[in-house]
This record gives sequence, C-alpha cells and structure tokens, in this order.
Amino acid sequence: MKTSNPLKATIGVFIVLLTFAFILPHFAPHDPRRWATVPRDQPPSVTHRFGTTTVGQDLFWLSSYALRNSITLGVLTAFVSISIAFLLGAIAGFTRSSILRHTLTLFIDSFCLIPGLPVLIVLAYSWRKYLSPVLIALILSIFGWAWPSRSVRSLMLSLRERPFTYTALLSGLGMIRMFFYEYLPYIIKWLAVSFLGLLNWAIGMETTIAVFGLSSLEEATMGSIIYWAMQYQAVLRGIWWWLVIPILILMLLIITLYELSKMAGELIGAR
Amino acid sequence: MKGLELGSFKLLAHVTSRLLFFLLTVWVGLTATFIVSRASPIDPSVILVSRLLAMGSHLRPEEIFAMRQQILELYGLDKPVYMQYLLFIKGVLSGNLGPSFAFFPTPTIDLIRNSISWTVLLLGFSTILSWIIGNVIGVLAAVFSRSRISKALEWIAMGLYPVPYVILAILLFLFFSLTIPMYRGVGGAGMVMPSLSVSYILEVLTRLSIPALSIILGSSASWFLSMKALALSVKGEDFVSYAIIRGLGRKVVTKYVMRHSLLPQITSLALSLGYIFNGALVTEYIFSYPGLGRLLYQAITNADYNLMLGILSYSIMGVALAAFVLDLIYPLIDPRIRYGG
Amino acid sequence: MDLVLRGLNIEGGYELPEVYVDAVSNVSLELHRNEVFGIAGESGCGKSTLIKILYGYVEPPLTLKNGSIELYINDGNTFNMSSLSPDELRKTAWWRHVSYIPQNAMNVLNPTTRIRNHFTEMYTAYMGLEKSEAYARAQKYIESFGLPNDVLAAFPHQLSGGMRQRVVIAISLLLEPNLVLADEPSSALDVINQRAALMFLKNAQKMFGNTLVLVSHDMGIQGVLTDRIALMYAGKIIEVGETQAIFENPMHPYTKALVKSLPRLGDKAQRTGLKGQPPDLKKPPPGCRFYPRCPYSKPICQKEEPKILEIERGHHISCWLR
Repeated sequence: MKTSNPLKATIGVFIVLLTFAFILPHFAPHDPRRWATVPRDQPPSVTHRFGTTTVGQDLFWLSSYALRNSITLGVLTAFVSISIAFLLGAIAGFTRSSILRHTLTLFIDSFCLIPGLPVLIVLAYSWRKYLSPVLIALILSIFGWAWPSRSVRSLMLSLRERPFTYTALLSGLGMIRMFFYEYLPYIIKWLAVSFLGLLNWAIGMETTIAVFGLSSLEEATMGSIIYWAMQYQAVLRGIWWWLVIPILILMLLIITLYELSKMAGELIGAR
Repeated sequence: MKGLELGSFKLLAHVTSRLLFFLLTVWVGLTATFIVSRASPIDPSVILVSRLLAMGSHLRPEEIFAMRQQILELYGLDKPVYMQYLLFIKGVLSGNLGPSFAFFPTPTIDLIRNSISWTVLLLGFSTILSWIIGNVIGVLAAVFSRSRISKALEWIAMGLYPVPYVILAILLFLFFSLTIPMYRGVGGAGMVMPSLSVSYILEVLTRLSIPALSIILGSSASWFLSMKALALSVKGEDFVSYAIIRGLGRKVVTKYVMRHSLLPQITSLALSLGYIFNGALVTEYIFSYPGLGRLLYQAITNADYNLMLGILSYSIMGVALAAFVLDLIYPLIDPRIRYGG
Repeated sequence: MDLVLRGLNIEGGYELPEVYVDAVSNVSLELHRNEVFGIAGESGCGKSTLIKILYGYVEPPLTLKNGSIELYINDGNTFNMSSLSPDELRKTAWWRHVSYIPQNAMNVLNPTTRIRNHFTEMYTAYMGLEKSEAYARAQKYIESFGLPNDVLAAFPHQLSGGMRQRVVIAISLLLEPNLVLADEPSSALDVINQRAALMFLKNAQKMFGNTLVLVSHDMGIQGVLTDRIALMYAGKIIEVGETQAIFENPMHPYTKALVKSLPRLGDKAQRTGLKGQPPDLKKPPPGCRFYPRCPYSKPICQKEEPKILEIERGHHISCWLR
C-alpha cells in the first residue's frame, strides 16, 4: 500500500477531528450543554476559541461534545444499515431462485426511491420525547440500508458469475473456504467504502432532521447547534460564528470522510 | 413516433415491470406511512384538542368530546387495524385526508395542493437543469480527459458532491443574505396569488432562482462525476474505437459516447428522485420557498400531525409517479427495448 | 508501381506500468497490388498488433518504437503511416486509401444507431454529402453487395452475427481503398457463416482489385483464401512466401508443425501438435524465439537471432537450419 502525501494529509485531518470529538470532551471545564455558563454572544477570542452562543454556551467545548455525538450516531447508523444491507443484498445477488432475486431487488429499489426524509421527519416527530442519538441512529437506519444494499447485490452477482466460483465449487473447495479466500478482499473493500459513505450520509441526514427541529433535545449534535443558531437568528444578529463554525467543522468532516472512502476504494482494490 | 412497434415483447415487458415497481413502491411507502402513524406514542386526537385549546378557542367539554370522536373516526382508531389500513389507503387515493390540525377545519389536501405546484416547479426545474449540465460537462470531460480543465472540474465536483443539500442551502443562504440586502426580505413573504402577469412571473423566478441554484450545485456535481466515469468506460468500448478507426472526428465520437452513456443515467435519475426530493424539501425550508418543504416545517411547529401524514403520503406517490414517467421515456431513447430483437 | 505497402524493421509493443511487452519485433514486409496476403500464427504472436501498427492506429499503451511504413497510392502519392499522427492519418489516408476491419467485428457497430446511419455518417464525413443523398448512395451500395435493402433500417442487435460481419466488410470498402486490413474477420462466427463472410470478402477483393491482408490463426482459411502468406511467431515473421509453396513445402520447423497439424482428405496419418508455449514477450529470449520448442535446434539457435534467408524467389525464412 503506497502512502502518498494526499493520503497522509487526509488521515491527519481525520485524526485531528477524532481527537477533537473524542478526547477533548473529557477536558471540558463544565457541561458544555448547560446554558448561561459563559458570557453570551462573545466572538471568538483567546478565552473562547470559537466564541459563545446566545444562550451562554462555549462553542468550542460544545462543538467538541456535539461532534462526538454526531460521529457516534453516524457510526451506529452505518453499522446497523450495513448489516441489513449486506443481508438483503447478498441474498438478492447470490440466490439462484429468480423469483426471490426479482422480488428482493424490487423491494430494495423501492426503498431507494421512497423519499426517506418525510418518513424520518414524521417518525422523529412522533417519538420526539424519546429521541436520543441511539434512537435517531435506529430511525435513520430504516432508510440507510437501501443504496448500499444495491451495491452489495451487484457485487455478489458479479462474484457469483466469476470463473473461480465454478472452478472452486467443482474442485471441491468448500463454500466457506471459497468465501474467505476469493471473496473476502472484494467484500472488505465494499465494507470500507460503504461504511464511510453511510457515515457521511447519516451525519448529513441527522443534520437535516435537526434543522427541522427534530433532533435530540437534550444531547447536542452538530445539527442541533445549527438549528438553535438559526432559531436565534444568529447571523442576522451578527453572531455569525454560532452558525458558520459548526458548518465548517461538518464540511471538514464530511469531505475528509469522502476522501477516505475514495482512497479505501482505490487502495483495497489492488490485490 | 416512427415505427414504434408496440408488439415488441421487450417493450411490453419493460412497461409491465416498471408499472409493477411503481405500484410496489407506492404500496411499501404508504404502508410505512401507516405503520409510522399508528405505531407512535402520540394520540392525534389529543394533539388536535390541545392545539385548539392553545390557540385560544373556548370549547365546552361536549364539543371537545365530539371533536375527539371526529378524529377517532377519521383515523378509524376504534376499528381493527386492517380496517384502519384500508381506510387510510382509500383516503389517500381519493384525496380525502381529513382536516389540518393547525388550520382546522381546512382539508389538508387543499393546503398540499397549494404548495405542491411550487415544489414541482423547483424540483422539475433544478433536476432537469442539473442533469443536463452535469451530464454534458461530464461527457466532454471524459472525451477530453487529459485537459487541465477536465481535471480542475473534477476537483470542484468532488468538493461539492459529498456536501449534504442542507449545508449547501445554508451556505448559499448565508452568502446571499449577507451580500444582497434586498434578498433578506424575499423569504418571509406569504402566499402569492397566481396570475398571468409579468410581475407574477418575475416574482416566481426571483423566489425560484436561489433555491434552484442550491440544488443545482449539488446535483450537477453528482451527475458530472458519475457521467465522467461512465463515459470514460464507454470510450473504451469496441464501437467507439471503431468510430475512431473509421476516421469520424471528435464530434461524432462524442455523440456516440453521449448517446450510450445517457441511457444508464436516465435509469439512475429515475431511482435518485427520492434523494433529490429530500434535498428539495430542506432547501425549500431554508429559503422559505412556498413549497412542501416549508409547509412541512410549519406542520411540525404547529403540531399538525394530519398535515404531516398528508405531505408524507403525497410525497411518496409523487416521487414514485415521476420515476414511472421517466421509466416510460427510457424506451424512446434505447432502441434495444423499443424494438426487441 | 506494383508495391502497395512497404514496412521495414517495425518494432512495436505495449508500455505497461513496470514492463514493456515486445509484441512486434523487427518485422519487414511488402504488399503487392491485387493480392490476398495472409498473416498467420497462434494467438499472442503479434499479428493483431502488427495490423494496428500498419494502419497507424497506435494509441497508448501501444507504442511504435522503430520502423518505417510507407503506403503507396495509385497516383504516385506516398503516406508514411509510421510518422503521421492518428489525427493526420484521419484527414489523409484512413479509409480513403487503407481501411481496417477490426477483430470482434460483429460487435463494433453502434448499438443505438441504425445501420444506415453507419453509412451516412461516413458519406457525410468524407464527401460532405447531405443526409438524403447519403442515404440514397448507401442504398445503392448495399444492393451492389447483394445485401437485402431492409438491412439499412435495422439496428445492429436485430441482425444476425453473419449479417453484421458482412455490413462491416461493406463499410470497409466504402471509399474503395487500395488496402484492406482484416483482423480475424470470421473467428466469432459459426462454420457456415464463416465461409459466407470469407467468400464475401474474397469476392469483394476481386471486384475492387485491392490488396487484402487477412489475419487469421486458422490455417485452413489461410490456405484457401490467400495468395501469399506470412507466418508470425512470438512477434517475428518466421516464414513468408506464396501460400501454395509454403503449404506444399514448409521450410521453417514451426510452419512444418502447423501444416502437419492440418487434417487432409485422404491422409489418415495421426495429427501431431507441438508441445510447449510461446515465450513470454515481457522478457524475450536472446536467440531464436522458437528454440525451446524446435525439434531440430542447434546450439547457435539459442544464442543468436537467425538472419532472414531467401530460399527461392519470394520465399523467405528466418532460421539457422539452412
């Protein structure tokens, strides 16, 4: 695996973000979610590196805390979605029964087509009282599995048709051994690329729902920071950092994840 | 349509399978809507009543009771589940979804009807434009793959593509509200009465342009990237190298590649409509564009559960229908389906 | 002038990331007017690569390292196929003076375009004709080949493989070039369609009086259709001469083995094949490339590449055994 400068840079940024999200919160001087802990509406300075919000929160510590929640939520969504996606997609791709394959394919495609946002919004609204990052992750997974499932299906279809499948079966190589030696590299590549892609999608989806006001009320996520900033008319009142900084952090995270998934796709492919 | 051989088996098979898919999608979507509405911890009748009380109407206990009964009947909550389900489907298909909670007793269908044409306008305009822009530039980038512009475009697209629609919308909103002072006012206006005057058309275009731009930026990047990859692989196909060997110039070769690459991109578009629709919803909300997205947000803030369900149901049906229409257009362009062989 | 093409010391191959594949090594040949010239050899011997180089269709990773290829036209003009770029060739020599029937010809037609458009776009590109005029000419042209008229209205997938092959052959003769290069024009067809396609090609050659280069690994086809034949092995031409003479009296050990392996009426002796594989062209051996499989080899064969000898008039071989 050749390590090059862009790869090193991307991984570096990613590690910085992870540190910000998972290590830094432990050093917060107080619970960043609590209101009125610091002076309101302060622009970024040495004491408050990202400034403060209208309800008296330090944006720096709040962001770090929120980023942790957003990423955890995303990881959980990705995990659940990938499991469902792999199960359904692998069956659809591998099965010999054409009825099963066609039905599953139609089913998977229908979930790809159905606009998930309105469904998720109604769901999130109904369960507003109980919304936690975990519940949100589960809700997002209801639609997250659809598109990865399509790619697993076509992956499995192509693997099944390969010559080595037939030769392996004919030469007596057990199904499981064949699976591991021949298929695993491709499956790992799919897993890496899809996981990172799903993570991105989940973070984007959660932000979207949050902007509609339906994210977790107690826990802070990047999306909920943006929501409150918009609710309090932050930019119009000149408190631009409250909105701009979380967006920049999100964009940095999302683009980094995208680059990582692309690199995973290229590097793992080389056998 | 010259020579459209309707007797072609492949054509029939194609239309049938897409029709089946349309029905399946609608069924799955409406069933999911039903499940979501019933398997929730909230009681819609309670919501309505508390809503009305909060709005300050003075109701006597008997009136409250009657209203609750009305809601119970509407949702069929006193009947067994399967009956509720059938009632619900019937309601959606016949356009009878009951009253909006926030604008009681206006039927939700009326509210939806007012907003849906705005959404169709935004969605149709942005989707078609971004599909065309992204695909055309993608093909050119593939044919001239060694040029610097092509590589630069790829970098730009890779920067736009992963960004969620919501963030693109907010960024654009920030940019325009800070740079064009006039713009700050446009968003909040109320409903506009349609008329065939120039001022109305201008009004529509003004409201449409920035949200459309937001969607177009994100979508074009996506189409560009997928088309460039697709066209590059098509470029390597036998019939393309044969065209080059025969001495047909770059223009003809580009036409070959484009025609062949557009086909999978149409299929791709049909399936992506749900995703783009999501983007349109949130973009409408951010820019206070008078479509379903803004209506949905209002429904949320007004605890208008019935309206939410209505928007949800019709969103699903609308997207599925649009995809079906696209699927019907596909054979017009792919002769292999139109004239089986 | 009797000469249509002269290629001298052609060296070409594929530049891969870590290695260079020496596909065509020091090949020289001459093509004469109104002849069918065969290039034979097993797959991987370099004949398709040679054809591409002769045509001038040299796109990466294929590179031309050395050599000159000159195309001589009736009116005295000469085109240097080896030094002109594909863009220049497109404007001057391609299709007008030399045309190419690629391998896998059945699948080179554009699936989303009708057959008639394949013809009309050629007429438009080369003669500047309007679509209606081009269409009329295409109809006449198709008829002159004896192909049914409704072929033009069809899409490629609606035609049989054999018919598509014939269409591709017809397209190659559209501008009546001096030289037609046909790469395995029948390999993907069944035996019956094969014969039809080849007869079609041969009749066309007689009709137009051009030079046809027929690349095929099928010695049976080569024996029936060609006037002269060159045999390639591992990127080199090892024997060239009149087809009749070579089949009756093969000189090179490889040719001997090839000819011996062909079934013949009346000859009930058992067919024998050759053991072994051609050498790896990423690391070609220093001496004769056939040495490892040659039953008659001498020590010198391993060390030095054999020179080219003229056995009799027009019959050359590359071997140490004479």
